[in-house]
Amino acid sequence: MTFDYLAIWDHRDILIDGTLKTLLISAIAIPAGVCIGIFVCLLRISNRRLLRWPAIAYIEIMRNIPLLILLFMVFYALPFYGIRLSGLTTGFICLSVYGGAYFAEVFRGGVEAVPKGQFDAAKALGLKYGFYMRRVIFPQLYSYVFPPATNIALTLIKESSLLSMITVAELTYAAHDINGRTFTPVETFATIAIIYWGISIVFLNLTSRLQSRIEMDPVSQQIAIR
Amino acid sequence: MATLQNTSVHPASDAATVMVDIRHMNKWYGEFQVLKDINLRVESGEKIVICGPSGSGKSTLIRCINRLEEHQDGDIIVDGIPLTADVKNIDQIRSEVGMCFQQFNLFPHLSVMENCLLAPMSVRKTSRTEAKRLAQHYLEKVKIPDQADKYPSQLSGGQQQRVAIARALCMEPRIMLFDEPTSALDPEMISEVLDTMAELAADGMTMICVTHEMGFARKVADRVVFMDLGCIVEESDPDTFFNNPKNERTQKFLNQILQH
Repeated sequence: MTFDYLAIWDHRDILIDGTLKTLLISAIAIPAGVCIGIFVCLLRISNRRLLRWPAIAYIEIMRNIPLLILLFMVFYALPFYGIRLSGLTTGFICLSVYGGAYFAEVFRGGVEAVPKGQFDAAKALGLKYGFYMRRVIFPQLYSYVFPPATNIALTLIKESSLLSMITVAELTYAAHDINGRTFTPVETFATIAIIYWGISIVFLNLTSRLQSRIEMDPVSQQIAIR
Repeated sequence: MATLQNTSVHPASDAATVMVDIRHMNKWYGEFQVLKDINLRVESGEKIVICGPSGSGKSTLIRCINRLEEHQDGDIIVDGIPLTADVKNIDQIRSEVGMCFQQFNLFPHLSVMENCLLAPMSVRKTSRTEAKRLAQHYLEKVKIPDQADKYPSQLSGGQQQRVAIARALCMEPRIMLFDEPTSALDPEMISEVLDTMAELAADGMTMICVTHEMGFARKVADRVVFMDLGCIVEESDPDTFFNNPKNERTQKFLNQILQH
């Protein structure tokens, strides 16, 4: 059997579009997921039940249903209730919301890893909750939180392939498209596997550089007051 | 020697000089009662040393004074402000009460100077220049003016604790609480911290110290409070406390810690 390079080369436009879309989806879903994660984490660690319980429910639901089912529910079931979202919008929302639950748990683990004395000292100085979380607790989280958060982000990049099931023309969808036209499954899927791998490697490289910069330089953790 | 233990009715005239007034305070952890009917009155400028065996509730008691722990029953009045669930009161009390901990609890990601600037600038809204001047003043006072740009991890334990004292002083508190400030220190660093505390005492600061340093208690304390099993068992001036303790449990405790 020969490797049909031409089948891929001839349809490079589709591949490039798909790759860009996968990058776009990741570039939106990961930061959005981190924001949701911070917000839900703050609710989750609250002393007030009214805040904590919805956060627990959200985290448990998101972690215990498959992303694909979430996508199907939003894309195929919500229209019955009059909510009609495009595949891409559905993808952004679901991936962010899904990732947010995992990020929230990672951040909570980080907050709990900060010694209790840090909270005591901050409170004893009279610092307000929001202020000391932002200036005292969260800056200490980076080293605890960075590696597991990177893993979640990486998972989200790869899970974005599920969006092909709801008509989003991202990389996996592009592969199906090319395969449908040329019937070269070996070539197409090998190619997109390599592209996913490449995206992941570049992403990991960037994050590990960022991480070592944070760890090596304590000054970078200092944020000028006001 | 009159004990102040059972004076639950205070004349209003001396209210201004009472810094901490704890009346019939009880605290539980679930079913377990950690503090039982605590009565303690600390006047302005007084130095109180609280001692007792571990698990007797000493730390819990002083952590109640700035609401790091919540009491369930009785009253705590700090500098005229009743300590309730009211966040305003808690904030006000915390800004007037400084605290040092066994583990120093400096913020590791901030330099010594930033550690000192944080609270005055955010709570007191002091300008950066003024806060810096204040920090420099107190760092000099605890004898580490040259380390302002270092990070806590670059300092010795004794230096870290002195920075923690300076950090608390930058809020210009009216009361200082010390929760076993020398217990985590190597022996050769204990005296530098105790000296700093003694100097602070000489300046007239109202201080409540949980400590096992009996030499410090003898030298600095106006009153020594002995706690056991969640109760204040004995409360007297250091002379009486060390030479003529009345309670059997106090005598036993003193025998154990002073025999070395």
